[in-house]
Amino acid sequence: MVSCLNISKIGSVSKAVNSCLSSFAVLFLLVLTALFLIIPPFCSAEYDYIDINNPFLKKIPIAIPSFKTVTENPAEKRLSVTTSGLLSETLEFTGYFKMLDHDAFLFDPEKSDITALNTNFQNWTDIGAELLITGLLEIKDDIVDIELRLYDTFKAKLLIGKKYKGLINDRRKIIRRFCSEVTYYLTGKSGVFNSKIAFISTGSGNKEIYICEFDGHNPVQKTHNKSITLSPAWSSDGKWIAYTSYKKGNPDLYIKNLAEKRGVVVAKKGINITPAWIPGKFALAATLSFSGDPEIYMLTGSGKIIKKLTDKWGIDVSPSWSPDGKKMAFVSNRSGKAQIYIKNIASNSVERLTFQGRYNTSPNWSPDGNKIAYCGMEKGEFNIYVINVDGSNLFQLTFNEGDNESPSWSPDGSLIAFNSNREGPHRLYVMTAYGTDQRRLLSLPGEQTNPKWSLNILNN
Amino acid sequence: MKEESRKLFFTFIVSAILHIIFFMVLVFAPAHKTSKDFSPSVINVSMVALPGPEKAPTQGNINGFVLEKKPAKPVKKVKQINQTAPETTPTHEKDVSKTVSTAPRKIKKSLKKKTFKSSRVVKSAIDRIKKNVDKSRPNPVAEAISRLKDKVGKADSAGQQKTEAGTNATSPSAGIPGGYGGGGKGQIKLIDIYRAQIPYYIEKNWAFSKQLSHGQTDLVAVVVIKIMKNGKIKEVWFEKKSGNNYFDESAYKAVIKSDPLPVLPEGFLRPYYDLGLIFTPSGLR
Repeated sequence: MVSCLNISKIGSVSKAVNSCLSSFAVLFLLVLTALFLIIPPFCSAEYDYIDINNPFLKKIPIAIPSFKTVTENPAEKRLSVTTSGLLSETLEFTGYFKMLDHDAFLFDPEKSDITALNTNFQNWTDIGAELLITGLLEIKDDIVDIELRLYDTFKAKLLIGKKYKGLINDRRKIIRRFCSEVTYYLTGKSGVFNSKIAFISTGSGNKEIYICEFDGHNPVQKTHNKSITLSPAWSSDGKWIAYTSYKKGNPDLYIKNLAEKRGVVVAKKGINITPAWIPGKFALAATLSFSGDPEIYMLTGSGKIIKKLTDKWGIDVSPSWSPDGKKMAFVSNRSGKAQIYIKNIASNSVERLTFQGRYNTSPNWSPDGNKIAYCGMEKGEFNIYVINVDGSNLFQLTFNEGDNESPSWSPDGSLIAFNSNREGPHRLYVMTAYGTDQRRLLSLPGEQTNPKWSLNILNN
Repeated sequence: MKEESRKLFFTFIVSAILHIIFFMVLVFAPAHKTSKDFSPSVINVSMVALPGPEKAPTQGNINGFVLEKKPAKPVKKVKQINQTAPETTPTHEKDVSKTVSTAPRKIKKSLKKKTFKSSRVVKSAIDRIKKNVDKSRPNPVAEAISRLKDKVGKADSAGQQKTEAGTNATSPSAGIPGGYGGGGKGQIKLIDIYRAQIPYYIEKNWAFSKQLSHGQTDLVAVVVIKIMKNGKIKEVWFEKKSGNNYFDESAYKAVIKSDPLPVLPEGFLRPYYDLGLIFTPSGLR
């Protein structure tokens, strides 16, 4: 009886334990489920997020102190100041950089070594410099040694270090070469430093072709026709230039070798105007009207007609080639008003590009092949516009500053040269591809129009 | 039977422990953080594109945060405006009215007594014009602060109304500065105001050239920063890179240049504040 009771007691205890365990398990599972549901939302909210979308400075802040000199020679000191100034101006021209004021510098590198070992980069980061260029200059007779170093101040890291040796008069060349290195490091492109700009100027009393360096430096008169000269066009290698001149009374096409003073004249009946070299080829397109209707033809560099590129009644002028030479933008009045069209050379198809405005001219294809800059007239004012080659993303670059005409892309596509009468007579200006940093390129007597930027053609 | 239940119990305990470890790892390991939906917590940057001091705000600004706790008191509002924009204080306006009302009398008197001085008249006219200009000129800082205060006030009153109309239960975290998630979406806390200030400090130090990114406007980099109580940025890391090295570096440099940020609001409960900065060049023209 007792044992039976004990067994029943044990059984009831065991049942009680089991029920306790099962209720504990249920409770535990409930708590676990609750934790599982509650905790994650709290944890996922560990960060708050905010948008940062408007940089205050649209350029890279860079510090370029005067170069250190090896000796205390006053001539060397003077050259150091002018050469570092030249480097600042050349880099600033690109529109990429914001030069920091020398007065803001906390440290004078002239008093120390130019290497990273002896540079306290916090002196430069404290004033906001993200890049630093230090230089060492030494003159031996008429030879100059210039050592230049580009640093990332935040990483305290040498990005580029170069040492150049050349004639004192070759300083521009040395600086250009280093600037190309800097631009290449930052953008993957060599920049504009080895390009030239051809343009028309009336400084001599006639419209003649002049050529200057990319920054307007050293303008040289190239034609002496004592007549009207128009529409200069560079060949890809920069050795040839084509233009229209009224030298013999008729608008004829001149194809000239710049170095060897030789060339040909295309003097067909009617007009022979607006040449454009085909990229990478010794051939060009130009408008000829010997048939009675101005059409665009493809010619060899020696002036022989290869084929007719447009064949539609109306005026077809101002060809501009895509970088791959497969398409050509041009101006036509086939719709009644001057508008820009694109011809696919392989398929022979033509599509109208511009629909906004009643008068759109001077197309110029960007070096990356994606955009076309042109001159459009709205409300009696000529302005520069940029449009994607598929007709999307039309963007006006100049506003309320007189007439702005003849856009021409720089070889790296970062800048656009144009002429404007915003200050009275027409002069050459340059701006970034986004319309910022508009400034005058050069000052010459007379008016300057029709700028045409070459590819990078200078030999270092 | 007993053996089985014991086995069952141990199996259950082991399973439970493993589950707990698994969920803890899942929840707290950084790699498993669920990505947050950005849009609800995005704050309009234009609100805080204010002219401000170059360095982190002084203690006065911190007091400003304290003042925000009780936006209903108009006296404190005036104090706040005085700190940032003295030219629009009410006392200044009173002075203007006094000057304007007394000026003609003085001129009449002086003319009669032949003591008229043209220089004094010109000076008073210039003063009058200056004061009129000051009166008419809107002060963006004061406007923005009062706007934020209004928001806080509205949010507070809305919260109170809800509480009164509801179950009389108040959330323990409601109104606690620095608390996460408590108080509902409509409630603006001091940390929200602090967060609204941050874009101004970062953007001020952000240098980025559209040219160098070849006009790419679809770049997005997310940088997370750990802000200590004194405003010092202790840690910086990329949650997401844009793929454009120049863009990512410019964002990183902007953060480094912005160190230290303003001190965290008084009463912020945590020792630091982790904040994600979503860098995009969309604000560029």
